[in-house]
Amino acid sequence: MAGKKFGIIFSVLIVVGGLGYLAFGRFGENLVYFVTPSEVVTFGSDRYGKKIRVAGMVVEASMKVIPETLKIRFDLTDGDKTIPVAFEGVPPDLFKEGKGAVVEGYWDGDQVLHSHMIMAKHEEDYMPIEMKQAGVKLPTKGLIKTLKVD
Amino acid sequence: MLSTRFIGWLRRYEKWFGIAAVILMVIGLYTGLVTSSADYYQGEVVRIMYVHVPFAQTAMFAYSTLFFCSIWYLWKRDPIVDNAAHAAAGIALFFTAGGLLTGSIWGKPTWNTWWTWDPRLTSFAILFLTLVGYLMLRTFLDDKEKRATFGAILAIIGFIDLPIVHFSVEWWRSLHQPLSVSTRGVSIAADMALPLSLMSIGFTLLFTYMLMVRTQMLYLEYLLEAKQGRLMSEERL
Amino acid sequence: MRSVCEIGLKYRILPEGDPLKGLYLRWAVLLSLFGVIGLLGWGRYNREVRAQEPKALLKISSGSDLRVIGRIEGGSLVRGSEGKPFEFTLSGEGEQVSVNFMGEDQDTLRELKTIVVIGSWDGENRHFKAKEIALIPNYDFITWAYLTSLIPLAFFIFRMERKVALLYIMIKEEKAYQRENLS
Repeated sequence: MAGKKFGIIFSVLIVVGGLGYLAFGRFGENLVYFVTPSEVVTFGSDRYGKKIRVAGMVVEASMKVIPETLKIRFDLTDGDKTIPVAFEGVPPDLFKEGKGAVVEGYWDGDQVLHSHMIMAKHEEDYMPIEMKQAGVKLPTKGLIKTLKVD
Repeated sequence: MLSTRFIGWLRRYEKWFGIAAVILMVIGLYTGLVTSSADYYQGEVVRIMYVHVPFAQTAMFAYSTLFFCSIWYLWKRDPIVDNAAHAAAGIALFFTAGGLLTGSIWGKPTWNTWWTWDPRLTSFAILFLTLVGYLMLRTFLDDKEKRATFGAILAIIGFIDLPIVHFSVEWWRSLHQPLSVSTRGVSIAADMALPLSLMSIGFTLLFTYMLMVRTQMLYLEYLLEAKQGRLMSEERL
Repeated sequence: MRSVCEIGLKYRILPEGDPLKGLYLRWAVLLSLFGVIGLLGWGRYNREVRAQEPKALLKISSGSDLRVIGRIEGGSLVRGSEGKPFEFTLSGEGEQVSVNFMGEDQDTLRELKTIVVIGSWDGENRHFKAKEIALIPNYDFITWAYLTSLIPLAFFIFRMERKVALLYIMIKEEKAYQRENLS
C-alpha cells in the first residue's frame, strides 16, 4: 500500500514538476539557451573563464585555419557586435561562413572566446541545390532575428 | 450498450483509415527516400525530416486527442471515452519517444550534438515525462472511476506544454530552427514538401487507425476483466 | 446482463473465420511492400550517393563519373581564381590523392573537412579531376533514423492488432467464462 501511494505521488510529481518548471520557473527567461556577442562584450572580469554558449553568425571571410593544427579562428556576430573566436577541434560539417553557429567555451581577459565545441545552427528553409543556385529565396525568419538581440 | 455499438463502428471503419495511411506512407517513403532531392545546405541527411516531423507532429496530435477525450470524460463520464483517452496516451508516448530518437539522430550530423537543453528539446522532453506520469498514475490507482478522473485532470493540466513545444522555437533562443510552416509562409521547396506532407497526413491517418484499434483493445480487456472479476466473486460465494 | 457474445453478434463485431490468419497475411504483404521501398532506396543510394575511399581508387587505372569520399588535408588547399582550379589533397585510410576542381568557390571546400568529389581519375599521374563536389552524405544516420523508428512502429501496431484479434477470439469462444484459459 505504501508503495502504491508513493507511486501515485511520484507520478503526479513528474508531471507537476515538469510543468511547474515551465510555468513558474519562467522557462523562457531563465533557460537562456545562449548569449549573443552583444552581451558577451559587456561581461566583467567576474564572468571570465566560465562556460558559456554564444550564438551568432560566422562572419564572411573571417575564418582562418592555422596550418598543421586543429585550430581555427573566426569572428562571430549578432548584427550589432562582433567577437573573435579561437576554436580547437573538428568543426561540424555544416559549420560555414555566413551561417549560424552556437559556440560553447569561455570568454577571457584577452577578449577572445575560447572553444572546443561548436554546434551548427541552420535555418528553416529546405530546397534542392539547383533551386538555391538559381537564386530562389524561401521565407525565413532570418538568422539574426532568431538570436533575439534586445 | 452504446459502447458496444461504438466498438462495432470502430471495427467496421478502422480498415479504411489503415489502408489510406499505408497508401500515403508508401508514396511518401518512396518519394522521400528515392525521388526527392538532397538539401542545398544539409545534403542527403534532410531525408530524416520525412520521418522525424511526422513522428513529432503525431505525438502532439495524440496528446491533443488525450486532452479532448479527458475533457469529454469529465463531462460525460462515459467509460469508453476513458478507454480512448488511455489509448491516445499510450500512442502519444510511443510517438514522443520516436520524435526524440529521430530528432537526436538528425541532430548529430546537422547540429553536431545528440542532445542539448534548448527550449524545444526541453519542452518536448517534458511532454514525454507528462505521458510517463499519466500512464504511471493510471497503473497505481485501482478504482476505475478514480483512475479515469485523476488521469483526465492530469492530462488536462499537462496540455499547457503543447503550445510551448510548438512555439518555443519562435518565442525563445533555441538551437532548433524556427517553424518551416508559419505565418511567414512555407519554407520548404515543393520537391521536399511532397514527401513531407504525404508522410504527415499518412501518420495522422495511421494514428486514427491506431487509436481505433487500441481503444478496442483496452475496452475488450476491461470487459474480460469485469467478467473475470464477477466470476471470482461468484466462486467465493 | 447479456453475454458479450450476444452483444457482439448483434452488432456484428465478432470476426468470421480465423482473424489471426488474416493478420499474418496482411503483415506479410505490408512488410514486403515496405521492403520493396527499402530496396529502391538502397538502389538509389548505390547509384547516386555511394562514394569510394581513395584507397579503392588507387586500384583502378582510370575512370570517369567516380565518387570519392575523403578529407581535405590541412594546409593542402590552394584556392583557385579566374581560370585557375582549386587544388587540394584528399586523404582517407592512409592513402592520399591530389585533386583539382574547376568550379565556383564553395563553403564545402575547406581544410580538414570530409567531402565527396565527383569526377574522373587518372591512375598514371595519381590525379583526380573533380567536376563537382558534394557534402558528406551521412547515410548511416538516415538509415538508423528510419530503422529505429519504423521497425518499433510496425511492432507496436502488430502487437496491438494481434491482441485485439486474440481478445475477439476469446470472447467469441466465450472463454471469458473459463478462468483457467485466461492468461
